[in-house]
Amino acid sequence: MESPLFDLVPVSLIEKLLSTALEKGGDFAEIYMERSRSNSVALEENKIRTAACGIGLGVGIRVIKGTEVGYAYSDDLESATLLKTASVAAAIAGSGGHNKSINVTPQNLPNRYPIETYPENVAAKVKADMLLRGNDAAHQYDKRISQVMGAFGDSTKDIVIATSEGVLSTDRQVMYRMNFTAIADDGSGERQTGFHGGGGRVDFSHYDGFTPEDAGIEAARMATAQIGAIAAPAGPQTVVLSPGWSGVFLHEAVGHGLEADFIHKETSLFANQLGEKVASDLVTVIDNGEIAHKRGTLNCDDEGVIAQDKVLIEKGVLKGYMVDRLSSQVMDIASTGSGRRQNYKHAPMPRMTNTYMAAGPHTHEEIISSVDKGLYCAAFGGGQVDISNGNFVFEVREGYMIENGKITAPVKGGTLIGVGPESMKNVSMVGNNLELDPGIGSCGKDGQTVPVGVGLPTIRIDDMTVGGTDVG
Amino acid sequence: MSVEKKLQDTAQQLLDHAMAAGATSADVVATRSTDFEVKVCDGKIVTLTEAVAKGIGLRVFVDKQLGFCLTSDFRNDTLKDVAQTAVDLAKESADDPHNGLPDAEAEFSTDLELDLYDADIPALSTEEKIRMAHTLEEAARATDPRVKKFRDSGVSSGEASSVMLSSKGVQRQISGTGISLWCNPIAESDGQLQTEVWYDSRTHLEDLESPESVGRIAAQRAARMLGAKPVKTQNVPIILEPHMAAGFVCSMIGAMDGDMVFKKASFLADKLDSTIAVPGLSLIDDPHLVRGTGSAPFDGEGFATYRKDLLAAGTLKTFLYDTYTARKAGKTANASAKRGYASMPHPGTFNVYIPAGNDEREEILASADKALLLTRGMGRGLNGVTGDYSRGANGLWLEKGEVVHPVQEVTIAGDYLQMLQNIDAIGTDLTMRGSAGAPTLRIADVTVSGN
Repeated sequence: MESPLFDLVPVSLIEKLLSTALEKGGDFAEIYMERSRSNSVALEENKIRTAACGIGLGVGIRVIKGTEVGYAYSDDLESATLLKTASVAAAIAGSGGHNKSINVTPQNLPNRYPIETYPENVAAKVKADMLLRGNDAAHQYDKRISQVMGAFGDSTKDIVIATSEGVLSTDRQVMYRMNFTAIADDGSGERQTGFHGGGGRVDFSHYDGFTPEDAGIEAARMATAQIGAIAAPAGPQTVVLSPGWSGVFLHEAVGHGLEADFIHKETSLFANQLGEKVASDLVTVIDNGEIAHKRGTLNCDDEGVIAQDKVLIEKGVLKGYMVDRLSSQVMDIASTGSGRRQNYKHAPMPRMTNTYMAAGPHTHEEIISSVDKGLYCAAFGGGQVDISNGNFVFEVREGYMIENGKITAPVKGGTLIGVGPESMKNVSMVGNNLELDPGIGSCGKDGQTVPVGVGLPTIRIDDMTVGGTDVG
Repeated sequence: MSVEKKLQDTAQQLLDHAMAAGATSADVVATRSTDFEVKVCDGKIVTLTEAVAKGIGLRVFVDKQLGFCLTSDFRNDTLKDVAQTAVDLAKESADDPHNGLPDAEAEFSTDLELDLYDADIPALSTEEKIRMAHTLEEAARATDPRVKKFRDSGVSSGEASSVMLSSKGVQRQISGTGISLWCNPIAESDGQLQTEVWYDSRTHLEDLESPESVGRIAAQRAARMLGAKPVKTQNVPIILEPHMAAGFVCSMIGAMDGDMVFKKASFLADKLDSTIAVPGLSLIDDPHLVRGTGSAPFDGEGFATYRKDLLAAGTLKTFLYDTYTARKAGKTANASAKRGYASMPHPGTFNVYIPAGNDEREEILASADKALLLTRGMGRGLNGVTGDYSRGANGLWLEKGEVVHPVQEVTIAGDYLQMLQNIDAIGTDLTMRGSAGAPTLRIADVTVSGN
């Protein structure tokens, strides 16, 4: 088992740290080490504004006693400092410890993101040229494009996780992301924005297929398509969501509410609902950390557990949760490999990986033509949910009226609001065209951001509240 | 060696490496902090976190090209590597005539007594902080029997020192402390759950709202939302509690960023010196508030900070410029650069607030036959490019000042500039929370979308 981190902190020191972490009587200890290198290139005003890099290095040590967690971290890897860090984390257990030695054994992990070309082997110049290509394509798409901003970001993160149960895991996690924002200005003072991008735990050759031109043109198309948008209707509407990134709807409406920490604390609307009907028969929701090269995919989670493919809701019936170590202990069920953290400065908690709805029986055209009057959401921005009452919002970035079964005028981006279980019961049609998002999503929870994927076929939801200004 | 001296030495080392690697000029920000957080739930500790953290960021110019690197690893070999990488990366960026350190260094005096460091905070024991966290929860529980659960409650505290050095001889340092309390209770009745967060955040322990008070207010705010439901879609006045009013008005600060304005990516781009809000509305950025959580004697480029009117009597008075955006736009930098070790300078604000008006809060609440009192928002709200506003909202439905029922699952929307012109009451109750403050505001004729 290899990791560049072992040169800095050898396995013998890791074992000593685990033993020190349990010296006050903790039930469980874990060492999480991380070295990351991230690069970014930014384009604005038709030129490369800057190229930047960041280096992160640190160790987080967690000790669990009962359900209480002591956590300490250090960005100084000297052995004396690390031993002190372990003692700080150990203090949660109070006293009455033991001094036993711990041996860790490497576990084999799958490789769900084999990479040929790592980010550090791609020169900044190559990434800069890609941004310039996307910029040119966006400007050439329409002369009303007044500004294009582009970014190419990547990171390589080496992690080592060792537990007092003797499991040693190492992983190298690569991430690429390229995105463009375009602003269209019609000359009369109206401006609209468009956005597109993509990536994931992919090889650099991903961008031979998903080209900068594709992304730049899509951002430009979205911006110009919104020029002349009319006020969004206000109040309850039939809403049709486009496939792919609109899966952010699922992420907010049900995903967070099925994270096991909210379940065992009974602070989620979905607590105690296992086996109950929580959505329409058409709805099957999956969180899958196994899909090759996706942004939310993991070989192992940040607790060293292999990430899984799990059915959360099957034909409308609640089947399972996303479980980390602590929740698994409290609820007496197995971890689903859902323990994730932003970096070594944070203790892990249950999080989503790639969350999507399974394909259904309808065609995209059937769904659109079924609506007499409603809103078609072609692209979303971000969203947010209040776990306890299930209220969720998301921002429509590109929307259109549907009138008599046809997509018509663009409408100004508004906010959609709903209650998770209600809107899931109101899913009345599900397309046969499941798409996963192109790899741009990040999810924030309790101050920690992690990359995630979402996916959705075209779906129809009856009776969603649209936050427009046209009360009509 | 003091923490500041060590940071100075590391920063100087990195700066020297950068110049040796071929930088024409460079600047460095280095920070070291001691961080503590305890989260509790149901009388038990959820997580207790302690750490010492550090980071350093290097900006280099190779003639008119720009590169940037940051690291949390301060070993000399890494610093050398980081310096070389930053110089190499700069050579991949475009020549931009506006790149470079500030031309002139503004007069800077260290006389300013902002009182940002409180020795009582590092001296506070872990046991005391755990006790405070439990008190938050106990106070919330005791306030209302319907408060039975918690997401969590907690205390975080820390101290931080930063130094800034440039190859032109700028040398600045600052140290400060901070402590925050929060309580996130969940009230439950008839199968409905409602959660609210209340908090306080200060640079000094003695200024901190008591855990009893934070816990009590959090519980009251959660419990009063029980029974919440949507209202019919309609246009009504909305009333914004001070923290919501601060959020609403401050959401336009991003659109005052001189860079966004220059790119015409701001709905305020052509509004300088125009009246964009009612005459009663002003917005001030004051970096010199004594003990302010956003206070700083110098900005991210070392310029002495000063108080600025962003809006004065409804008129947009200025945009925010750092050196680069000012040069590009043909303006003068106005000490608005914000910079941590992890970022390059970018325009921003320090402590912003809306000065108090003349209307008593009680009168504002009672002023409409029906109105929505906004207590919490969800989602982004303002689109800074188009000026469209749309946000999910929670609140209380008021009729002639009486609460009829709590409201959820609605959105408020409108044209932001129109909403600023429709502000028709400004409270006397200016409240600072963190680095933003406002009094109660009333906005006429806002679309509330519900059922």
